[in-house]
Amino acid sequence: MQYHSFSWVVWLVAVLITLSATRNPLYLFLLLLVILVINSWLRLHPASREIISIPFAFTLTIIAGSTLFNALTSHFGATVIFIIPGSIPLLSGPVTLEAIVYGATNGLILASMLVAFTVVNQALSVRALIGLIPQAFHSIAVIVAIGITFLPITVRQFQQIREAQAIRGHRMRNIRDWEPLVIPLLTSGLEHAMHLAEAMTARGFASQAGAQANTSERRVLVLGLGIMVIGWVVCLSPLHPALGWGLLALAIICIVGALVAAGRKSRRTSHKAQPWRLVDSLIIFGALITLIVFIFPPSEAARETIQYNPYPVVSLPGFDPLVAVSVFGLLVPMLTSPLRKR
Amino acid sequence: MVDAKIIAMLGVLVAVNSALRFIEVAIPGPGGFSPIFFLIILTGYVYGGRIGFLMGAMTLLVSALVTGGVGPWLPSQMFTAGWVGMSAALCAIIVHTLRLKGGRGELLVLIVFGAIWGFLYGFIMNLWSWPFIAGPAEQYWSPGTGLADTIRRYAAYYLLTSLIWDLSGSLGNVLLLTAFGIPTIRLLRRFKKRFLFQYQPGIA
Repeated sequence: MQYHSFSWVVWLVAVLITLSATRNPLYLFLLLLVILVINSWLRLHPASREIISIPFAFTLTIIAGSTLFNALTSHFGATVIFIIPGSIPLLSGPVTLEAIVYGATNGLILASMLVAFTVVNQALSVRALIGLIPQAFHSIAVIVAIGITFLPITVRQFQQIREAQAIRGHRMRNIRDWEPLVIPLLTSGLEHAMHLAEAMTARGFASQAGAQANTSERRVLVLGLGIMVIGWVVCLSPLHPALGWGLLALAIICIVGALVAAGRKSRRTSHKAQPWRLVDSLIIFGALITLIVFIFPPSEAARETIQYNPYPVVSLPGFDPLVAVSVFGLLVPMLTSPLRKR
Repeated sequence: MVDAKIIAMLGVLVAVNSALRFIEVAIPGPGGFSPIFFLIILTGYVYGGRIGFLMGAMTLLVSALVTGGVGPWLPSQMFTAGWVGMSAALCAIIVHTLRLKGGRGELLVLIVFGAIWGFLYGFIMNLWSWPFIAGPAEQYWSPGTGLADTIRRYAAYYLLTSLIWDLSGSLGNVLLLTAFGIPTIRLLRRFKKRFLFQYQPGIA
């Protein structure tokens, strides 16, 4: 897909937060449908990436598995359907309708998350995904780029070694017979690496030595991570949640600041920059509308429907039309025709 | 880290390991069996914890990018696989302390290490999905639950859902380290001198 990677990232983050914000099965079902529609639409697009996608049956399996697991292991709830007798650890006890509903809700969340990631995997090319690695980690991005470039070469080399060994009469009978394939593959790979390192040095790669994060940036990063752990622990305590959130915000400022400062030292060039189009802004706008409605519901009644919980006694989940309509903000990527090659 | 030799070496080792993962995705092994960990463990053991961590994390990242496996599980996978490689450096300390280098004892230490990580990897990885799959707060983790109670609940969850799965992962690590451990260690040591040398400025 030709949309900007940043707009897909915002779309994905909005989906994940929205899914985490509600346990209302009606809204979750609607969200799953919307994501499945985007997934199917992407499959029609000639520019989308061929990946091992999650089939519909697999999505149903996740929901069924989660429902069964929760029904058999969670014995809370007032509406008892039947009782598993005996003293089997975790399993024995009443199976309740509340546990079934809660399990199905968890399954819907998990399945929707998996399909949302499949959407982004399909929509973004490998090059675009590498481009998402922060500039501060440019060495990591180089390793990833080398790994991806060498992967098809490695697979081809493996086939060549296998053919050469087969010509010599080598047969695969047990695991030790893989040694004449694995060791030459590693040896040739490491020889390639040596040649590559020489080529990189000759082209001035080592001249970026000054681009490393300095000591103070590293200290700020470690400090930020430390504050994050403390803030997280404080957040878990019911006594000082505001202090915990404050510490987490401070930690994020420290970490982002250190990464931005380190990233500025390395120059990023691009052979073909991704253009930013109006539709990218619309994707972000649509995703943010969905997110805002779920995080800050327009009314108290809407909030109650979003915060549905089947425990302790199951009831029919509420439904607010405005909240439901906001979910369609996630369909904005479909504004362009899937069959038009750009 | 901008040493071209180390970056190139890591990139290529990651490509080799990702190719193994690619095969694993295409032809899934039994349960939690994965062919990638033996190379992560041996890289961390021979080249040290820092390179071992990068090898583990980058293998999972690259293979996820190629197979379309980017998902909420990826950060956990990257960190956990990174810890496998990083902690493999501890085996070098044990081997050095007990003077086992070059003998069967060296391989035995690595096999035991691989067997432990077969279970530990699943134990750590399950944490990311636990809050989603688990049931009501009263039964599973909730704010205010004590450490011992939380561990007891998680251990029960792990035993029920993952023990058998991880057993095959652990046996797979043992099998691969037994079969390829010694020749791979020899090979990585041979290249170590070529990759890890540094130029020192001369004194005028």
